[in-house]
Parts: sequence; C-alpha cells; structure tokens
Amino acid sequence: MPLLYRISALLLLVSGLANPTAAQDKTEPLLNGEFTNERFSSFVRTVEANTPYRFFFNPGEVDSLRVTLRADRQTVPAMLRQIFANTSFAYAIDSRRRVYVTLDAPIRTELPIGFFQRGVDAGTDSLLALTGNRRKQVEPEDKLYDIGRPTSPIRPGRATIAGHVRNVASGEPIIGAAVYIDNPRIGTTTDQFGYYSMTLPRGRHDLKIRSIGLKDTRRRIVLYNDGKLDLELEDDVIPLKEVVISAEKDVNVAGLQMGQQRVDIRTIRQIPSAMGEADLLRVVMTLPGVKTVGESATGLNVRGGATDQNLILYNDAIIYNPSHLFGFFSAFNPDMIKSVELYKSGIPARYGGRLSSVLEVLTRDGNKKKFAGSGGIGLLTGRLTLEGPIIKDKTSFIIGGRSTYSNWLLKQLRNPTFRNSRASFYDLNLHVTHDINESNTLYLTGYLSQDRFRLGSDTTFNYQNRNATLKWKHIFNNKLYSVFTGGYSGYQYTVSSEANPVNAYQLNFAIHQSSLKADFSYFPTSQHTVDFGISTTHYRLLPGNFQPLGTKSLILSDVVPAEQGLESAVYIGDKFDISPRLAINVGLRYSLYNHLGPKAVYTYAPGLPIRVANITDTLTYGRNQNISTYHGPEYRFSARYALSSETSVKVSFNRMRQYIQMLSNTTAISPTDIWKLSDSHLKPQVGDQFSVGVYRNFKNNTIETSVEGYYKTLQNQLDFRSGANLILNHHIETDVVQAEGVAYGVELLVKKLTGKLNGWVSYTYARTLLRVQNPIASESINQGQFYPSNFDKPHDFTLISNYKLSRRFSLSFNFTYSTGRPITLPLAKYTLGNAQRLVYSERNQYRIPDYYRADFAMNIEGNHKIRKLAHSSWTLAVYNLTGRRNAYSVYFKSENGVIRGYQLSIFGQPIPSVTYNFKF
Amino acid sequence: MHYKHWKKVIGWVAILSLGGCVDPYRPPEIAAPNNYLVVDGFLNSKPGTTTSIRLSRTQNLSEKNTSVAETRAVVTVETEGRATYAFRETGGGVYTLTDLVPQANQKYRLRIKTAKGVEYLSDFTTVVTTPVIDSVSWRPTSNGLQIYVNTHDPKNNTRYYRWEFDETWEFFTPYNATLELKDKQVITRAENTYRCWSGESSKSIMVGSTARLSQDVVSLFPLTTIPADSWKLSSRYSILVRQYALSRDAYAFWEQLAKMTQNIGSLFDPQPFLLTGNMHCITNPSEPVLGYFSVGSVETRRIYVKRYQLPNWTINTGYSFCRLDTAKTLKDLIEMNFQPVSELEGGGGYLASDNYCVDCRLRGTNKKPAFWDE
Repeated sequence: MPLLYRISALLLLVSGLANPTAAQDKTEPLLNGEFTNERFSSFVRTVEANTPYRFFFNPGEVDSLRVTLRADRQTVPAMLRQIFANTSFAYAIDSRRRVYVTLDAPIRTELPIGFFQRGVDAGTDSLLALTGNRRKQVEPEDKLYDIGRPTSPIRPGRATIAGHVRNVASGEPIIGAAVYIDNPRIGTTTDQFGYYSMTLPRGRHDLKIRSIGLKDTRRRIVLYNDGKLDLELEDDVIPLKEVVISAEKDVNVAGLQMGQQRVDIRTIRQIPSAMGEADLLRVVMTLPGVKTVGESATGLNVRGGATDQNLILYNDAIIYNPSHLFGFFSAFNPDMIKSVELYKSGIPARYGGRLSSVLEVLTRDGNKKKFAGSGGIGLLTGRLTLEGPIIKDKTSFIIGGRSTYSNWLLKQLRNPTFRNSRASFYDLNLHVTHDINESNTLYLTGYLSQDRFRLGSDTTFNYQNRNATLKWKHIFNNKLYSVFTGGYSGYQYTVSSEANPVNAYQLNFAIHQSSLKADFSYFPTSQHTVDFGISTTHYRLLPGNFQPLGTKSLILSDVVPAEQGLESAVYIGDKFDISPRLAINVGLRYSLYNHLGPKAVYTYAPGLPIRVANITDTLTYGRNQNISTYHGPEYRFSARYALSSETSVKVSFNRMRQYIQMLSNTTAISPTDIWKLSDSHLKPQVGDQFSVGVYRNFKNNTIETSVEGYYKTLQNQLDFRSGANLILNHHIETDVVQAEGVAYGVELLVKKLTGKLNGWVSYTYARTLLRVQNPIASESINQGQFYPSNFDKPHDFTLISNYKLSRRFSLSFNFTYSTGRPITLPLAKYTLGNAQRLVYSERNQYRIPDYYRADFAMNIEGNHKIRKLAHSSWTLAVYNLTGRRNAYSVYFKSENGVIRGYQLSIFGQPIPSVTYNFKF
Repeated sequence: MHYKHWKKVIGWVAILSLGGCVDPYRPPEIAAPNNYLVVDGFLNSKPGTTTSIRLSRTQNLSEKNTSVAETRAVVTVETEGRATYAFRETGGGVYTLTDLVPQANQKYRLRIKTAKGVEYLSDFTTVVTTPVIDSVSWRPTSNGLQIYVNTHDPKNNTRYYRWEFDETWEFFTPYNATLELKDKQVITRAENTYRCWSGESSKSIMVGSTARLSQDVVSLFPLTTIPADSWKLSSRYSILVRQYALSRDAYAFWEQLAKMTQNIGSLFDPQPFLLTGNMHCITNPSEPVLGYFSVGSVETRRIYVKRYQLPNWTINTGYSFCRLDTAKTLKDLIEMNFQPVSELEGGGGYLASDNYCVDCRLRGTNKKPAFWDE
C-alpha cells in the first residue's frame, strides 16, 4: 500500500526555453514541460530555474498540493491559474514577478489606496494586508492531507485510512482516542498501540480526534485511496482560564463495551491513598462491582468472583502477586503506568483464562523526543523514572525503580520486636519501544519486584514477581495488522526460619509460565472489526519445596512434585456495526487444557469421600504424558442499541474458563498462597455471565450515567474443607471442595469527568453465594445450602470527587461505605484444655461491622511556566479522615483461659501523608 | 538531642502507618440452638494412677458462670474385646477410674450415656506412650524468662506432642510480722504469713510436631515466657511440665483448636469452624460432640529458677506501695487499721503496716507444697 506517497515523477523538462531573457522584463517567459503529480515545490524549482519568477509560500501549507500539467509555451500566470483552480489556495503576483501563495485569500501586493491616510477606513477589503492578521505558523489543522495516491476525479467507493495517534511532545501512543468524521457518522477508537483503522467513503473529510486530557484536534483530508495518516495530539496544558470542555466524549453511550472501565494515571493520582503514593489497585477498588475483603487486602473481587479470577496483565504478562508489603502498596509504579482498563463483562474473545475480569495495566512508552525523568518521595517510599530516546523518533526507553526505606525506619524504633523486624521491597520496570520501520515495531518489557519481610527475628518471607515480554507488531496493510507476543511470568516465594537451628527450614514455591501468542486485527469494512488469534501457555508449578537450612537442622526435605500444564486457545471475534443504532460484537474462544506428566496421581474409591484413607491406586505418568484434558468453547456476545444519541441499551453474555487457581483458606490474599493447576480431581472453573445495562449521557456528554445488572453462574469454584492444610500437601484434592456459585447485582454509576468538579458516584447491590453439595452429608458445607462467600458485601457506595480550586490547587475527597463482609461467629463456649473454647456457627452466617471511610487530599502544583528545570507537585493527604476504626477482622481469642472478642482495624486513625513528586 | 527528637517522630510515623489497632468486640447476642456435650478425656495408662474424665455442656457466650457439668451419666471404657470398665461419678461432672491399666496392644473407646438417654461413643483409640522429658530449660531474654522443653524419642515414632504446665512460685511480704492484731489485742502471730506460694496452670494449648524432622527430637520448644518484671520471679520459681504424646489425629485436633482460639488475629487468619474430635453421638448422628478422648501416659519434669540466677530485673512485686509506720498505742493501731510488725525498741509502740503487706495468704498459701524442696 502506498503508505508513503511517492510521485511517479516523470519530469521531462523545459524543452527550449523561450527567450533567454535579455533583461526583457516586459516579455513574459514561456515554458514548455510536462508535470505529472509533481510536488508544488519541485514545480517551483523548475519555474524559478527558468524564469525570473520567484515564489513565496509556506512549504507546510502547500505540501499536499500536486501539479499535473502539460505546458506548451505557456506563461507562468496561465499555469498558475490552471494549478490553483478549484483549490483553496490563492496567489498574487507583484510587479517584480514575485508570486505569493497563500491559503484562501490572496495577498495584496500593493498597498490599498489611502493606506497612509490615517483615520480613513481602508475599506472592507477581503484581501489580507501583508501586515494584517498575523497568521500563526501553519498548524497541521490547516493543512489538507491527501490520503492515498491521488486520482482525478476521486473514484467512488470507500477506502481505508489508518495510522497511529501519538502525543506530540513525547511520541507516546495514545490509547482510546476517538477518531471520527461527522458526516456520515463513522468513528473508531485507537487500540493499545494508539493505532486506528477506519474505512470511509472516498473524498474530503474533516477528521476529528479527541482524547481526554489532550487537545481536541482535526485534520482535513482528501481520501483518494487506502493510506496512512499519523496524528499527533498536544497535551491539554492547563489553560490560563478554566475552559469547560464540552467534547463529544460519548463512549459511554456510543461504545459497544459494557462493564468496562478505563482509569488513566491522572485520575489515579488524584485519589488519596493511605501511604501517600498513587495506588492503582486502590483506585480500581473504588469502581462499581469491584470489592475487596478489607484494607490492605489487594485481592480484587469483581462481580462476585474470587481474587484469583482476575487476569492481571502488565503489558501482556501476568502478575501473580500485585502487591507489596502484604498489600500496603500495589506492585505497580505509578510513574510507569499509562492507564488501566478493567473488563467486568463483555470480555473480548482475545482474553481468556480467568473467570471474573481482565485488568489490563499498560505502561507508558518512553519519550521518543527528549530525555525526561520523574519521581517522588513519600513517607515510606521513593521512586525514580527515567525515559528518553535511544534513537530519536525510533527507539525509546523508560526505566523505573521504586523502593522503601522502611527497614531504616524500623531500625530506629525502640521496641525490640520492631527493631529486629524487616520490611522492604523494590520493583524495577523497563520498557523499550523500537520502531523498525513504519510497519514493524518491537516492544520489550521487563518487570521485577521483590519483597522481604520479617517480624521480630523469626520467620522471613520473601517473594518475587519476574516478568518479561517481547511483542512484535507488524502492519500488513491498512486493514490487517498482527501482534506476536512471547512472554514469561514468574512468581515465587520463600519462607525461612533460622531462629532455632534444629528446626531451621526454607520453604519454596514457584510458578513459571511461558506463553506465545499471535493476535490479528482485521478491518474489512467500516462496519466490521475482526480480531482473531491463537495462543498457548505452558505452566510449570513447584507447589512446595521444604528444605533444611544449615547443618544443624534436622528438617527432612519434602518436595511436592512439580505440575505441568498446557493451555491453548484460538479465538475470533467480530465487531459489527449493523446500523448506526445497532452494533454487536460476537466472539468465540475455544480453549484446550492438558495436564501433563511427570506425575503420580492418586485414585480414590468411588462413592467415598476423597480422603487419604480412601486412596485405591497410584497412577504414574511419564514426562509430557497427557494426564487429563479439558476443553470447551467460550462464547462472547455483546450488543448495543442506541435509543437516541444520548441513550443506549446494551446486553452481553460471556463464558469464561479457568485452568489455574489459587489455594488460600485465609480471607485476604496472602503472599504465601499457592497456585494449583486443574488436574484429574480439580475440574476447571467455568463461569457464565449475562448482563444488561442502560446508559445515558447528560449535558453534552459531560455527565455519564449507567445502570448495569448482571447474573452469573460459576461452576467448580474452590472452597476448602474446614481446617484444610494447603502447604506441602501431596494430595490437595483431599482438602479442597468444589463449589457452585451464583452472583448477581446491580451497579449504578454517575460520572463527571470534566469541569471544575469531577469524579464519580457509584452504588452497587451485589450478592455472591456458594454451595457445596455432596451426596455424602459430611462432605457438604452448611448442609448443602447456599452460603455467602467471603467477599459477599451487598451494599457498596463510593464517592470520588476532585475540585479544582485553581490551576495549581485541587482538592480531592472520597467516601466509601460498604456492608461488612461475612464471618463465622461463635455461638457458644466450653472449657477444654484448661481454657475456654468456642463453638462456631455455620460458615459465613454473620457479618463484621459496616465499613466507611472518608479521605481527603490536596494537590499543589508548582508554577506553570512551561520551561523550567523541574516541574514539581506536592500531595498532602489524610486517609481515613474521621479515624473510624473499620473492622478488618473480628476474632475471638482464649487469653488466660477466658474468651475475649477483638476487632482488628488496620488504619484506625487518620493517616496523614506527604508526597513530593517531580518531573524533568 | 535533635536526632533523638527525630527518632521519636520517625517512630511515631512508622507505627502510625504500620501499626493497626485492636479493640474489644462484643458479638451480637446469639442464643446457641443447643448445649452440646463436651468431653475432656484422657485415660492415663500408668499403673496406679486415677484417670478422671470431665463432662460438661457448652454455654451461651453471655453466660457468666463456669461451665455446666454433665451429671448422672454412665461412663464406660471398652476394649476391642468388649471388656468394659465403668467410671465412678465424683461430682462436678468428673468421673474417675482407678482399676484399669490400659495395655499398649489394646484399643479403647469411651461410651457415655447421659441421664436423658442420649448415647455417645468415641472412635477406638490406641495407647500412646510418652517418651521422657529430656530437660526443661530456661534462658533470660529481653522480654523475660523463657522456658523451653526438650525431648526425644529414640525410636522415632512419637512425632506428636502436647504439653501442659503448672507454675508455682515462692514469695515474701515486705515485712516479717511477728505480731498480729486480733480481737483488738496484739498477740504473737500464730502462723508464718511472711513466706507463701502461689500457682497457676497453663491455659493454652501447646502442641509440637517433629514429623518434618529426620529425628524425633524436640529442641527448645518454647512453652512460656514470664515477663521480666513478674512477681513470679521475686524469689524462687518452679514449673512442672507435663508431656503427652499424641496420635496424629489427636495432634491435628489440638493444633486446629489452638489455631482457632489462640494464634489468631493476624492479617491472614484461616476461617474458624466447628471443630469436633473423635467423639460421636450415636443417638443423633448430626449432633456434634466436642472434645477428644485419648489414652496414653504422661511424663513430667519440674525445675526451679532462683532470683539470683536471673539478671537484675526490676520486679513489680505488687508490694511497692507498702510503708512502715509507727503506732504509739494500740488505739492508734486500730484507728490506722494496720497490723503490727514488731514492737518498737524500748517499748511504747509498734512498727506497723497494711495487712496486705504482712499477710502473704492474701495472695497465696503459706502451706509449703509437698514437692518444694527448700
């Protein structure tokens, strides 16, 4: 495809010039020649070389102007007349044969009569005076872009325009920018690479581009044929006077997506967090339909799903433990992040492998134009990010690091337990983007995070995420591009204790996941967007390796054999705009899972509880031998029907399958939770979700509202036998039960993203229930009745608000209320072993007290000189403004023989924090 | 100075940001649907010992009185060979048995028939022999006196252990009173109220396992820590450790019970649940029975720690408010409500102090325990 316009410059020239000009000014020089699709500038060179005419024009303005002309002893004015006919250009020739080419209106080459007679009206002249109306330098908006090889006349039919939308300052791709024309109404949004492709009728269009936080712009194009147009947007520098942006940001209504939320880093930064550092996961938790079991718990429960049912992707690599310091910090460095996108329903066919949601975290691309850096210093952490071009406009890098000085802080403490404690973490990110050429781009991402924690001088916890991905994006043509991704995700932890040399041990767990995939996007017509692809993932889990530490240790080594699995999938999805009112997205994903040897698998006596006592046989499988296979289709469907330009109704259905799960019988995600592949005993989880929503925008799309309802059924959910032992368990199936689940709810959201006051208010009513039914009564939980899951919190209200007092000061206020999570309470007490003990109720029949919390933050920006050494900002925040002691858990402890009830709150007082951020 | 001040600020900030807080919590008033039977049963296999089994009922959380005893039950122990031995009720829900010496090659089970006619039965239980305690050791640490137990089984087959202990400590009042004010008369003190003993039993479950070790060795299992300022350490401290070997199932039971009622309150607690042991209700199989019945032997060991063996810790004796005063006359003494300690030299009055400061029986007993060897 003619991505670069190339002239078929056949230029035969100037056969015999007329009069070799013996100062004969008065005789017009005559030219011979043939120009075919010649650039105006080269036409000018030819004319200037052969005639005394001199041209004055702005090269930027005329670069789309082509000259196709056959001159047979013609004068220059005659040629110009021909060239500029039917264009928006005007020209003027003064007496010294200087030609001025301008847009729209010709320049006056002579002063108007009476120019020097002050006070006398110069006349309502449509011509622009040379001195008048200072024309700014030509902006891309004023240019006319030819797309495709020009033809004359423009052929009927349609053609495809495609390209990247980038930030003009950094060269960074812009995701989710709307690219559209008004008449007929056709539009698209850029994908995660900032790429767009759109099929339009051939001809002249006014292409509009909008994206939140960036200046709206437009391009005038003439679409002749398929072609490429890269678009650059400018940052919306905070204007001197507040401007109300009344953009047509109507994705809420017009988009096909439902149950999807995108939060960009600007919003994330506004929201106060306990540790003063912008925390992506905390922000995601404020979205409707997302819950968590408590403060400091980083596990997301999306629409009644368990915490292991979220596909957390960091540039396409899975992050198994997205938290630091047991959940007080998220594992994502805010300076590296561009945006985060959460899919709760209507999950596109290209994603799979987890039941509840997809949380896609995208890093920024490094600045392609200049060197820059940013960082911040908070009460407990410091971070620094550097970025810049390696090869200007071609290769860029961004590297970020973050660490804590909590170890140093702990050493300062008096209390010996604290003084001997250690708590440290760091994370490192690297992202390199390399444009090989116009149609090939490579992306390399590396991520490493490490945590070390020791309470007192006893057990040390150590855990690590390691990820690497390499992506190759190849554009075949305007209508088809592909992304090939190879990646590795690893997670491992080590628990060790050396306090007593005889019992000194080390316990390891690790997951290694390698994946390969190819994704294709195909834009056959303006009505269809087809995604298809294939992927395969190999898992290797080391479920437990228990080893003695030191020579005195008597610990026997105990190794739970490794598990292997292969998960493969093919998918195809089509987004089909049937009419301006109706659009559908249909997709099918087919996934196949093989549990592979080497492994010894126990078989249990049928009809009896799966217990060690009932093991009947052990089957041994060799290396890469298939042990069990599961496969099945995953249907994806969503549809949008626009009732009006402000209102639409959407429905969606999706089925997901999950072959790897986390085993945790604690309520909150703990870093020492282990993961388990589906095997002969544990069937893969399957979830179906049906959802329906009504969307309406108000006040020029500045206020978005939505109501979404969903109903979900979940099969083969994991729950645990009472008193399950999960660590170093060689037969985990004896401690696990598979439950069926039901989740349903309604989510209401009102969002205002522009103006002095912005933010959102959401309310959710949601229930999640599980049931374990087994013909053997003792194997059922709560007598086979439905019981609330650990994260069933029916009512949830969130207010996130930000008020810009001025360009430099803004205030944020958040409020959250939710029902307390279910717990199992004691019903009665008794005495055993010299102390009181408790009789507990059936599982999850009671609730901890309701949760509410208010936070406040103030952001102070430095002055707004665009050029200065470093831009800095301060964030002062108070987390838990009212100091409410929200119960994280309630527990009963036998102390000195007597039962006492306690409520543990993690942040029981207002927590002030100060963070200094800088950018250079 | 400045640096110190900074440290304070930093400490404050760190605690503020890391330290959570724990408040008392009163659960909603829930009336339990039933009172379940609780069996606290251990059949001692040592010849000549008396085994006692305690039966009680669960109570509502709000009930203040101590547990309700299950009386008038018929309690028997059966062997696999159907031999039965009946327990004798001794009151307070305690049932005793003396004439049975369990044999290591036999299995035993407990049968209970309550006065209401409901019948309960345990699983058959093997006799678990407990190895001797190698030593009970101690070490002063920054937190106080740490007591450890050490044991091993040369045959490597015990693997699971439970410990209990009884603490006894000697203490003195600040003043050795030779006189006593009784019936408004000063007389010679009849009993020694200067030296007393007090005691306490362990109130938590301590279990340990060597299942993951190559040898069946328990080394320095921490039993208890006595705070450095505790009055238990004011003169001479003694601890008697009882060691029980457990079967694997019994260990699992006690460990779970400990997890749910003792080692709880962290960020990552497991879910509590209704824990039942090896007792079952045969009249109504769905009725839970609490407690665990086991058979085996007990090993004990006692150690003493004297004050001078410990670092120079400041003990909070509980007597720091005590003052000696002088009472000129008997009338003064009565008005002051003091006890005479001794007569003032040269007569004409008494050295006196509060009764609490001269009578140790208010905090213990002045009868020397039989085992006390000093």
